Amino acid sequence: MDLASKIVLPLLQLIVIVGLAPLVKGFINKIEARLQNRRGASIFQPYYNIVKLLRKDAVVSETASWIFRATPYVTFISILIIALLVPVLSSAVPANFTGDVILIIYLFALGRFFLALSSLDTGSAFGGMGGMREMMVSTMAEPALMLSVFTVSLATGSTNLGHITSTIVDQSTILLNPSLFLAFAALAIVIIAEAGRIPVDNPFTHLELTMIHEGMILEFSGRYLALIEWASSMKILLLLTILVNTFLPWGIASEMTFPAMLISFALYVVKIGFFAFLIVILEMSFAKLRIFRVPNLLGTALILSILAIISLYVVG
Amino acid sequence: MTHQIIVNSRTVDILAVLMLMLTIVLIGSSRLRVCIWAYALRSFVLALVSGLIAYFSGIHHIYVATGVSIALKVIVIPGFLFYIINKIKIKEDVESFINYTLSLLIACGLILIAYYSTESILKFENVFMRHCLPVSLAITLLGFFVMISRKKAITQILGLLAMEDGLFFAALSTSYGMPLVVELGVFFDILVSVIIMGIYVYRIKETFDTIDTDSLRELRE
Amino acid sequence: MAEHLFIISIILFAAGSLFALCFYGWQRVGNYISLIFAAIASCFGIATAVVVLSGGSPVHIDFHLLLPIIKYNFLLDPLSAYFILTISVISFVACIYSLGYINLYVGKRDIRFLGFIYNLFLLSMLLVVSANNAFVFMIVWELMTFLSYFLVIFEHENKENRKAGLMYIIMAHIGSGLLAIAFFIMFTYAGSFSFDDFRQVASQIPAVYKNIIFFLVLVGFGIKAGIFPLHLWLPMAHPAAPSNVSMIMSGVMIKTAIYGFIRFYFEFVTPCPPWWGVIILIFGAGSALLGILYALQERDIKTMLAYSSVENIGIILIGIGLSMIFRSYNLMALSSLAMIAGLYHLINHAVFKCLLFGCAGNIYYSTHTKNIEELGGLIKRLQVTAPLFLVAALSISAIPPLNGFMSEWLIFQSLLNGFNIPSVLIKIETIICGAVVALTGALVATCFIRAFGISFLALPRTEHAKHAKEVPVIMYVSMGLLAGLCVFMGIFPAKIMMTVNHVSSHLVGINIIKSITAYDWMQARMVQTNFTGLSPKSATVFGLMLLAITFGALTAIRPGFVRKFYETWTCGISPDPRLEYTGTAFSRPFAVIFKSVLRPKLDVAKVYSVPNFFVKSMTYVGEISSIFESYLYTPVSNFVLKASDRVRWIHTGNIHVYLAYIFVTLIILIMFFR
Repeated sequence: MDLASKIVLPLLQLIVIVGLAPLVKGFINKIEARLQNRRGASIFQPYYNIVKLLRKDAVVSETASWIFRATPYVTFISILIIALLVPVLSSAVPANFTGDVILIIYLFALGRFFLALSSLDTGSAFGGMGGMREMMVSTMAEPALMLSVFTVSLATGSTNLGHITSTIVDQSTILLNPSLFLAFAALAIVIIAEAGRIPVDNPFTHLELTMIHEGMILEFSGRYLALIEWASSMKILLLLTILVNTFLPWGIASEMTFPAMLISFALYVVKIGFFAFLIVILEMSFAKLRIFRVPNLLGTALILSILAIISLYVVG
Repeated sequence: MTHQIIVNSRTVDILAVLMLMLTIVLIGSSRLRVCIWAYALRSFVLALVSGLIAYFSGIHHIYVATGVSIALKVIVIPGFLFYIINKIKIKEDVESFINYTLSLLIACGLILIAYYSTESILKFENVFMRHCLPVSLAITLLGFFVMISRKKAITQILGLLAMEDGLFFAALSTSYGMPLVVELGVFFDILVSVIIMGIYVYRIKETFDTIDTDSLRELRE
Repeated sequence: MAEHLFIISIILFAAGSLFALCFYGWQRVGNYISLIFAAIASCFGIATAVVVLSGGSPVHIDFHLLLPIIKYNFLLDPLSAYFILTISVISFVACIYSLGYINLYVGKRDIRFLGFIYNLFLLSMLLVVSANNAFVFMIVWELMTFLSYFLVIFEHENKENRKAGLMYIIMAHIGSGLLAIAFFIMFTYAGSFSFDDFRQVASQIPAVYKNIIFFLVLVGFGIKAGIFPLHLWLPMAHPAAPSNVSMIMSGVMIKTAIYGFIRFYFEFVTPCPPWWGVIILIFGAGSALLGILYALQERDIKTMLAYSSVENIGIILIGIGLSMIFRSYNLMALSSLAMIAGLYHLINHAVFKCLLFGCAGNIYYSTHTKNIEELGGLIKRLQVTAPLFLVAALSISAIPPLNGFMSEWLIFQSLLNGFNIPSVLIKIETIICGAVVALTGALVATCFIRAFGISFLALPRTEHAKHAKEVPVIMYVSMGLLAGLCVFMGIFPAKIMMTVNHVSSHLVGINIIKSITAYDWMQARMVQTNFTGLSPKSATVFGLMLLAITFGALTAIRPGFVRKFYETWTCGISPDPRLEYTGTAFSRPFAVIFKSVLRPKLDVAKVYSVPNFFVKSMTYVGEISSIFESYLYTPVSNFVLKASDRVRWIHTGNIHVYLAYIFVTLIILIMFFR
């Protein structure tokens, strides 16, 4: 790959992820509203929200320290670095050498670390509660996430997402392995947990009994809130991208020609839209779980992912 | 091995794993209706698998088993179980002697045991349908475990049905089904036992006002 | 060259210790001088290690002292040099830190012995990792245990500390006893006490004795390392000691036990059967998970850090166990990779644990309390210690781009490579281990978010915390050095990896440096394994570039961005520390999820002013019951007490009976050896 594509491609990836993320959120909200027989806000509403928030000043608590003010940047930047590492439009990711999927998982952890700290920083009980619950959910989700990703990487021989995608595109029969099917199920449950959707967390609520992610970000305002909301919608998009381009990578471009990129982008949008629709269906079918039933669900995901690897090892 | 055979075998494997996941749902869920739906779905997938195996291998008597399977296990038995539940109006919680996490861990351990003990067989066999034997053994073990650890009689019925599913699947995948007469016999056996158990559950509820098998032990005095 | 540096460093330590004793009236000056001597000696230690590790061949130092039959052999080979490097770096920082920390004790108690024992303690650790003779090893090992006992009970008026010291020394002695038996078995096969002879006879020991040695060494060194279930002394002894001692104990003393493991299992009793590695792997995973679960529930900062040490030792043992398993299947390159992962985590843990204990010492210095529930808001008062603690908390939670992440990444890569192992059972175990490591990593992050968040953030909960002042410069400068090291080792891992690779190639026999480092687009070194590559430098560079772009974009959108400050909304009440989350509440979900392990007990007592209707007050007492104490230690100690009761009849107190015992023994000896 020549130098131009090495710079253009990551930039393009960043623009797609950063630009598309609020649209995904808007799309999910719109579909959900329609299915609930409401009109719903426009698909572009999250964009309007972000622009509005970016133009406002912020009110910061007196109790909070520099950690509170640094957190939005840390979260946003860590998600952007992940956006450079994930194959979005092309299976050849130029920033491949920077890191692999383990780095991605721990970069998510970096954002979460600072968010949880800033939730404790303001000294309000909502924040502490949100932080505690978020740490509980993410702690129980992390082994399942790791192991299901490891299943895929053991089946394809690399932990690097770009390599995984290109290997699966080349030899599609790898995908028909039942171990990968189990890994897909586990990954789906974990993505619901990490994205903060029902049945794990309710993204629309502001009641303290029910909020996890919303509780952590309650005190942010203005530009900070814009960055954090943008980062969380990018997180959902990135998780879906990992799911889509690992398990359904057909159509992804292998070379950097314009028509290939266009097709890849169109297919990408369709696939993400399909999974967003599935998320909405799941949201509408289940009620939010009681908070201490969530570890049970995530424990099931862990069992599924352990089984995925074991069956891969034993049966091959 | 040709590409087509690999695709076929992998498809059957994926459906087998789907059945295993539904059995895990049986262990993991806390509502009775969900368990019965999981059973119905699993029987449907099993029928699909036996249909596919019949199609791939061309052995026609398996089609008969498929048809009977669909009729009995997907339609009649779950319907009958739902009918019983509606009749006896019990609390629809699944009560068990072991707490959730421990039962999940034991389930995981049982599946690992199933995989580990069939590993030496799998090393020698050729590539076709490799996941089916461990999965069927796992479903049988899980069914037995459900029978041991649940309190309500309905869930014990479901455990027995899981065991039967597992054994049927094992026979199906390794030796393309037992002789037709045997299979039909087993099917009707199951049907009759479920009906009898259902009637008894109804009667027990009528008489003692509970179907908690734990408190049924008091009868021995 | 290397031996001269080493001997100079030994002499400096010894001299420094004597200095501390000399001045009675000027205790502070005496201590300062001894600490400065120790710091200089540590520099010489670092120099020694660097000389040996940068390609020097192993150096033997033998000399005879006093009696001609007792030879003192020391060996400086790459493994010892690596441990000397770790010990020296940490002792350098700890000595500089102590220069400030002993102000806490000046005038209140006699600190001459502190300096004296401190220097000798550091010296004894250096000698432990360089001893080449079983006799010398046992002497120095016992010396190290004794000296640390005295340091642990330094604040001896507190009954808890005395109890902790007693527990520590009893357990350490049991461990030393088992080690002595192991050494004796080796002696019978090798004919002498020298380690070189031990290495020669490694393959000739029959399997039965090898297994016995395995278990003896596992328990003997395991007690010192703090593997579960032998870890009980750790959370009692480390908090009892003064902070500058805890940092050394937790940072390096535990690692000497790992040194012992590696010496035995890789040099003295090779070749190992695979099940040894599996047992070490299982114990490592168990220690990791249980250590962090208990750490989450602790209120005392230092007890929490001690449990976290148990957890990290578990992770190091996972690396070493994997290395042993790979080695027994002759997968040498993978064994090297796992060994590199374990040893890298060792030095990382030494660095960030020392930093954590140092910050805990800073907190104690300023607020005189170690209970995190009494702290809060320290980030505005201890303005330098807070970022240092944050860096340490990020490192230990394995957050990129700091050093903890590199070693966790390597451990994951080694675990993934487990699919190469022929045995299915072991493969299943490596996967379960992988799940445990992932879970532990997430739990560590929670634990340190809690520690940092409750102690440093929000409002102060007591008067102590409100009036905390920053500590003297020298204390945070030394910690700053360590924090810088954390960041450096995270962003530039290649140098450390080359060093560790040198050590492991010496042990395992394969040099894999070519396959684990490569060059990336900036011509900077990056790490790679057979699965993938990782370049923390590029990640950091990208991060900084993106930060610049984001900042620029945001400023362009709204140039006049203003932050307004106002009090937190607490539903109309003015903000009060009682409204904040407490540490116990933060980790309560984990006590509930893991309640079968932790067995939390809850006691809620209500006092009614009008019976059954109006509650006047409620008392909530919650505690975690220590199941190891009740199921393992108490029965064992009861058994020992009962057994000794039975034998008590030998002590009649009558001198004639004792003379008769001696007489009978003499006759038996004469008869047997005629």
